[in-house]
Amino acid sequence: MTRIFEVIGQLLILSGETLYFLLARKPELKAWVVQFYNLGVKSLSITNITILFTGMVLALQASFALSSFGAELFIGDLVSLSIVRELGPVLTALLVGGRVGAGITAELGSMKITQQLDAMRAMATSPIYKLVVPRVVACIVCLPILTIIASALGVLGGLLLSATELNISGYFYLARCINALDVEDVAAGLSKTFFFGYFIGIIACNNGMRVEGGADGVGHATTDTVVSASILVLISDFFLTKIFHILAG
Amino acid sequence: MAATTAPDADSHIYYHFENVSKSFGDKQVLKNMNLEVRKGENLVILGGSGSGKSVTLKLMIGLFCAGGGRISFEGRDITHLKEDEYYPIRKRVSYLFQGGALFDSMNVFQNLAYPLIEHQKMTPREILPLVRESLSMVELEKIEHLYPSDLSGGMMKRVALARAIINKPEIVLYDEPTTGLDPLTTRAINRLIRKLQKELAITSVVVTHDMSTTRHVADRLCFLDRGELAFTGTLAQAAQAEHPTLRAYLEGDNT
Repeated sequence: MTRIFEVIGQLLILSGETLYFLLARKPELKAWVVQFYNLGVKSLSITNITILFTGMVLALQASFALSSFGAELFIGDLVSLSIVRELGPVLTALLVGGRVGAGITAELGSMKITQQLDAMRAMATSPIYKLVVPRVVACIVCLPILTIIASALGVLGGLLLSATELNISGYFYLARCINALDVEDVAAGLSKTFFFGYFIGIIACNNGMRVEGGADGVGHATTDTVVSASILVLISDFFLTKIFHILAG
Repeated sequence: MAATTAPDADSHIYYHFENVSKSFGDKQVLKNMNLEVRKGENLVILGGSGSGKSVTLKLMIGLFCAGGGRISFEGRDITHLKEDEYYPIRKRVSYLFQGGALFDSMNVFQNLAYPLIEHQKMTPREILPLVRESLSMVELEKIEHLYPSDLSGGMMKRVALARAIINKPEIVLYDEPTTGLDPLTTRAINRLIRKLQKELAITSVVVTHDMSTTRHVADRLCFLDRGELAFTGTLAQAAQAEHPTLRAYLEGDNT
């Protein structure tokens, strides 16, 4: 239990320092662009493929269930709402948490054990400004963008399956999607991703910068990042959904 | 806490340790250490593995904070400064890490350019001749485009040394500069430490357990034994010392 409070304290301190450098110093745009590419562009394939097929599977499963009520025509409603409100943001966050979170922790952890972080400090520069800020910003900015693209592909996956397997016209499917979704659904789904991005980035950086020991320590920290980020994404998803629901009235 | 000026500030002394202690958990690595680093000298801190040598260097630059006692730099108390309050000191003091600590995502040029870009806002065109000059000091050339993974252990250490001296520091802290190097490279680095002292008036604090480095570079010698400062003096005084471990070091070197 003490360990949990210790980690929360570490995350709050690192968040405070990250915010300080973000506001107080000129952004290192070159480092930011590198991280946008590494964390965002390179995650496109895994998030897109996963959610495209999730959309197809969802449509297939829904067709089995809805056909018993003669309600197959509402597949567009079910797929679009599920993907846009929940599956798109959460699955994207889990995938990015696994790929990007692990990568950040391993990279910073290796730098820690080879004293590169100490070398930065010894040369009067801050590892938080040079390394943490670009990565956390990239996570916060890229995750919503990845979610938008992946969710669109997830809905498209449902369309593909509906059109090819269930003989529902694409036009009708899309009309149902547009009818089912309103701005609040999109906002509720998308706004969560900013928080997910922040959680992934800050946990990954904190674990990386606190690696002790050698390769073994890097391995443990990397696993810890994936587990912690995944759990935090899923738990916070519940509370954020609840909060946004209350706010939406 | 802001740095304060001690009334007894001595202009000939960079660092002054007064009863400095440091522990990690239950393990005390430094016990009541009293030490001075004088301007212009080469001070060698000799001792076995785990005797607290590297910790002493890290205390000097604020990478660790002392658990007890007082550390002053040019008379100013720097024992408990905030991270950014150490920056003015770190711009004047360079640190050569044991493993080199080169940034492995950057090539040799970028590694050497790092402190210049960060603090002197120089352009790559202005930096290139300085990088070449610094590399030639450590007897390396035409390796600017190579990455640390392309370098041998000895080359990495020399590149790290080139990075440490590129911004003309007043003090260089060397953490095991010659450990694991071949005799020729060891000799070259020993010569370089002397050369930096003579030509650039750089003060050196060298942590080592290598007696050949100690004999070549030391103006004064401190011997650390299990976290305690067992001896301070010149090499000639060390030869007369009674301390059994220090004698073992000196005699071991002669056998």
